[in-house]
Amino acid sequence: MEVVAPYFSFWLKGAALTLGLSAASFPISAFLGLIVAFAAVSPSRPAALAAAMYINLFRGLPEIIVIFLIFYGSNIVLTMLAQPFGIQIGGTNPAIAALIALSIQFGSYAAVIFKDWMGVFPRGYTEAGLAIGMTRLQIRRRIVVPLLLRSATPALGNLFLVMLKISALASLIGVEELSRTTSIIAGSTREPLVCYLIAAGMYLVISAVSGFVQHRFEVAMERSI
Amino acid sequence: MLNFAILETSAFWWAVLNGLGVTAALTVLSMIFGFITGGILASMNFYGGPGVRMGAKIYIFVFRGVPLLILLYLFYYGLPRVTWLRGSYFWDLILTSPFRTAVFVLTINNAAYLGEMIRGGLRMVPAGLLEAAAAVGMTKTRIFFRVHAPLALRSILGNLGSETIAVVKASAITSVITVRDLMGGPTVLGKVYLDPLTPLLVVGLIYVVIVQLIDLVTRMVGRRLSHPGTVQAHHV
Repeated sequence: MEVVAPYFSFWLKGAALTLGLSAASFPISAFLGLIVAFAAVSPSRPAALAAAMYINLFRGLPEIIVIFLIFYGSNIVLTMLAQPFGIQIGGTNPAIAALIALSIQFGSYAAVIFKDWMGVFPRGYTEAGLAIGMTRLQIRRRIVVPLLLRSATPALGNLFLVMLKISALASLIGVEELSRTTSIIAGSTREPLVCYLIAAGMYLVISAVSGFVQHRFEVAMERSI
Repeated sequence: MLNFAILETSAFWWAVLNGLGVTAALTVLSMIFGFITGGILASMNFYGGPGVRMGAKIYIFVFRGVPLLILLYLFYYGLPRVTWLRGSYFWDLILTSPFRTAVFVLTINNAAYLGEMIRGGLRMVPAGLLEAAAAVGMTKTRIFFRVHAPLALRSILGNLGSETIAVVKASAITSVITVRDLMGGPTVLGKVYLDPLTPLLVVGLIYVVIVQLIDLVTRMVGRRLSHPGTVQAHHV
């Protein structure tokens, strides 16, 4: 324990990045999910098809592959784009690659959640909106989206907890979040058992705190109805 | 930069084929062992006293809350440092091989999810059916194996499909402890050929197909087993 004590500030930085990565990419995922869900139920066939393809593609792709694909892929694309101009690009920032990968992947998961809730959305609400002369866009923005967000809150909360854990994979492309800092500390102290146990504990604390906040949020939402 | 030379080597396709087998083995083994462990956890939660229930709850909280990557590192890099484990049965059976470590870690992780799922299934069986079974004189164990468990199993069938999909995807992470599964084998070759992208694209496509197939099978089995008016109806 004494061996790893000096590293705690480094560790906390990693934990902060884990939380920050998920906190930054989750709203993007939710927004993306909402758009895709609307596309999936839209009468336009190409839009519905594109949405179904997106959802099924990321339902099947392991997160670890998506992270690597975005990281290596963007590196290669950027290099190819820069070549004709004779510029050297240092490569994609791993944190940004991880952010994009997580957002796209979890956008598809969020889309499934929203789509499921749209399936049970009461017709009466949208009809009421039509009756008082709201446009389709107004109905979506002022009736459907707020109610959808409210009913999907528990599922979205769980999705956030999943994202916190999956974001550990960002360590594999060099993002210095909690898992990566743990590996570094484990390497330099040669105490892998202690270090990974501490990391496990930190993830549990982060999950527990997020779960608690989520619970409070849900209770507050219930009351606001 | 982006050439597909690796696709013309037989070594690559052998790695893919081999990896498919390893991924299938990882998934099937950790689903079977995970289901048994999960069943025990669910029974602890459902039938046990407060202490036993607490134990099951803590297990589920811990193994659902810690990322799989950390669990893999913990068992692969961390545990071999515990000297008194050396020579034990657990050491010889699990820690001596990355594959068996991967199966073990996927199992304990999967059991936490399956435990919650099975508990939900057990709860969904209407109490009246169990009382009816007791009324005709069935013993407790008999009720469990002949009435409660089968009905619970049927109600969680759809969820078992998505759990299998989750395990297939999660098993790709075991490549970080040198398991040569569908992800690990071909991407290691990609490093040799200085082409990380092509193996990822090929393997990613195969995962998508596998998951669609599992979906298809789940739907087919689900349709066959769901009769109107049975427990399935409660599964809304």
